Amino acid sequence: MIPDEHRKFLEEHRLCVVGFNRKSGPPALSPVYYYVDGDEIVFSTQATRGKAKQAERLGEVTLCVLEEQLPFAYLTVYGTVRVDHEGAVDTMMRAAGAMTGSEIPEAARPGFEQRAKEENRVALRVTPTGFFSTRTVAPKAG
Amino acid sequence: MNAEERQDFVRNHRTAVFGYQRKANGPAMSIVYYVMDGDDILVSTMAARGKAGAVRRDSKVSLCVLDEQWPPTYVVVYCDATVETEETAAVDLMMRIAGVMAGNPMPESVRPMVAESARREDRVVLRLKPYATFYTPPRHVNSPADLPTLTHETSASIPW
Repeated sequence: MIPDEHRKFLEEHRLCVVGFNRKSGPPALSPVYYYVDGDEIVFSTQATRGKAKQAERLGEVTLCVLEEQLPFAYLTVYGTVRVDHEGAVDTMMRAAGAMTGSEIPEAARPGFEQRAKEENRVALRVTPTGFFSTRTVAPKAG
Repeated sequence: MNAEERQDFVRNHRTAVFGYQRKANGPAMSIVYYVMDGDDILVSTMAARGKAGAVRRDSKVSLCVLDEQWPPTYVVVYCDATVETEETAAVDLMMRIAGVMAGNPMPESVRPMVAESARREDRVVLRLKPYATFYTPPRHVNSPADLPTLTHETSASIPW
């Protein structure tokens, strides 16, 4: 279950930095657009990309969900992650909707299907297991 | 972006997601302001906080440096980090960080107040020495009409 206070923040935003542990060295970090589907946070990637491989290998991920204006409030989400090979097109369309700020019309689905196939797209579905947040406050000059 | 452009990107921004591996589960991630000291990146934190403890345990950290534009562009910087505990350095860094947060340098008149905060919070300096960067161009869809021309690029880490 995602607590109401965190669900509100997650649903009001759309961009997060995804963090995976690497086999050695510091974590891999990259921004993605996401959406909330029930108790899962979902985003699109390619099956051959690091994120999908790390999801398969580790099963654990961290998301740092960002406000889009300074000072950035943020919510860090710790969770388990699974690779969904079936929902790639729907995920691309919903993530694109998050990017555009409005639902993508069904008429655009063939274009997404083609791109999902060309790019070997998958959906990564994150189930939150813990949350961390602080609000940063910028001081005033002088 | 080539190596020089990535370095310029880091030098010309001020916020990043700071990531480090935890003993178990996914990495810890939090947003920080930073300043540059030559090629080093400086981050202020408290000695008792997770970031300082993590760096003492494992020097490898990542920064995902964000621009403040939309859609966002980013550069990931992989670094070797150390903890510096000297009080004057901690206060100097807090003054600089407060300056970048505010968008203007802090006047010397606030230094005693900042020094008191540094003592009370047991502030330390995290010194990050970058050794590699990672970057991919932002991909953005403003409408379905953008789909046919949406770029798709892969990238790789390159040395700092």
